[in-house]
Amino acid sequence: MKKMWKSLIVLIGGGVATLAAIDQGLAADSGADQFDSYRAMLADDNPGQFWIDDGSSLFHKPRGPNKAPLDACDFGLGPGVVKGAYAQMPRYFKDADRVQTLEGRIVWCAETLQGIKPEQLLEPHYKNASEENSTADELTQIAAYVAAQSNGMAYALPLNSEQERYSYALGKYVFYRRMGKMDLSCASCHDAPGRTIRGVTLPVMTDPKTAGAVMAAFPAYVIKDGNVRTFWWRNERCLLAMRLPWLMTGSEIDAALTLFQAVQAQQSETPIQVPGIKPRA
Amino acid sequence: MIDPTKKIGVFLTAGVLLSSIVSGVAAGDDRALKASVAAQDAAFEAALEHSFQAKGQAGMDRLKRNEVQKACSRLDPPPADVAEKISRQASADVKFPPDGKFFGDWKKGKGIASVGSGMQSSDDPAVANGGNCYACHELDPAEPGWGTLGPSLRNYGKLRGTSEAIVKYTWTRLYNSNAVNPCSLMPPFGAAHVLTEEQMKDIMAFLFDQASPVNQ
Repeated sequence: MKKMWKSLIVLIGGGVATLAAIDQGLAADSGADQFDSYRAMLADDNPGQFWIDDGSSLFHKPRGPNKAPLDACDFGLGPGVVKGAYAQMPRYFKDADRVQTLEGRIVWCAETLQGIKPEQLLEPHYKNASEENSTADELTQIAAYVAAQSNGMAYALPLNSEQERYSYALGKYVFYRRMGKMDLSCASCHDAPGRTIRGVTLPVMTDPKTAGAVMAAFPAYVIKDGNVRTFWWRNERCLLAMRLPWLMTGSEIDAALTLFQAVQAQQSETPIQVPGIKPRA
Repeated sequence: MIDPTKKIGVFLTAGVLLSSIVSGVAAGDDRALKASVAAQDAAFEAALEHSFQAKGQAGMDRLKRNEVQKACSRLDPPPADVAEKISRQASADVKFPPDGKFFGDWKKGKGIASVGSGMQSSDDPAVANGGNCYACHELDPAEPGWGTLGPSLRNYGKLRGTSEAIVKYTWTRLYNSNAVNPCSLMPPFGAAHVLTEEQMKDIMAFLFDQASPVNQ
């Protein structure tokens, strides 16, 4: 069964070349239209579904030195409650005393409950920038599983603690911060409508509608990579292009930037539907 | 991941700062507000230090901002006097080619314009940086895709000629666009050493040469 799916993924990989041609050869709008129909074609057989299935197995399996599953992990709605949890993240966790993203929370729970070192989960894809690497990794699988339990629900960030409001303010500060050798901020590209980069339409992350479409899709199956990527990765790809150092997964600014954008997104009440399908990022 | 013990200290500071900001606003005390905003900004800057790590050629120094970046890191444009100071300073710092020659090889410029890599943590520092011009501008219409963050530069030289004024203006734009437009979205390719003087000359030729595909 798995083999069959793998050959399907290879087949889809063949479509990437076509897709790249679509992306580059046409003006942004018609390219986007063609991608929409391609996305619709894939929707019933979204390869990202395997990340969810594998993530579910990993989540419930006793693992690590403590031979414990992640079932007792509290994603903010109580130990073991995953339904709807992602729609309220990033949020403040008393036990960790910090605002955590989904990925950050999983790493924290794996360490505290299972005794799994953060590096073990972060090494495969969260400490390097390689694109077009289709190797699946555990952290993304678990993240895809937990996130999918919020499918059909809109983001509803609690923002009811001082720490969360501080994190939001920090996220906004960093979003508008001009930095790096290319002298860019997130806002340079993602704060005004109608901007394209190399023919690719840039989502306006301060517009609830476009931010909603982006935030509702991550973790997403990225066709160029043949892999599922989380929202941390989405932010890191931009920061990499801004020629900045490495954004650490689960760090204060990872959480702040994610929270700021999720709050923009939630005003649109766009239902989360993960894994989304993205052409390149 | 972050050292959790370090984290606690930062959060305590953050909490104290936040309450001081709130009380400052409530009291309507302008000085207290300014002081607390400055304190909050200092805490935000500290968050950058422990949220990023150096990788490849992208060191932590890249997070530091110059005065222009500080003034331009906001929703609204800076006040007129600050904007004027930015462009005056940027103009004064522009270095024109010492040999007086502004044009290199347009064919090389064509290549530099389309290369988007260079200086990323994943890039080889031994490889020359690209100009990534198409990220924001239309130039040679045969290029498969271009962005709209900047204006179209198609027929650049054909439309503008090669007077000393337009040549110097264009060099200035490339060197540090803030000289013309404070808080410009365009990276300061000369001032920030993204491109070498020779590469900038090649880009200039690509823009102005009558044989360049930009002017066909």
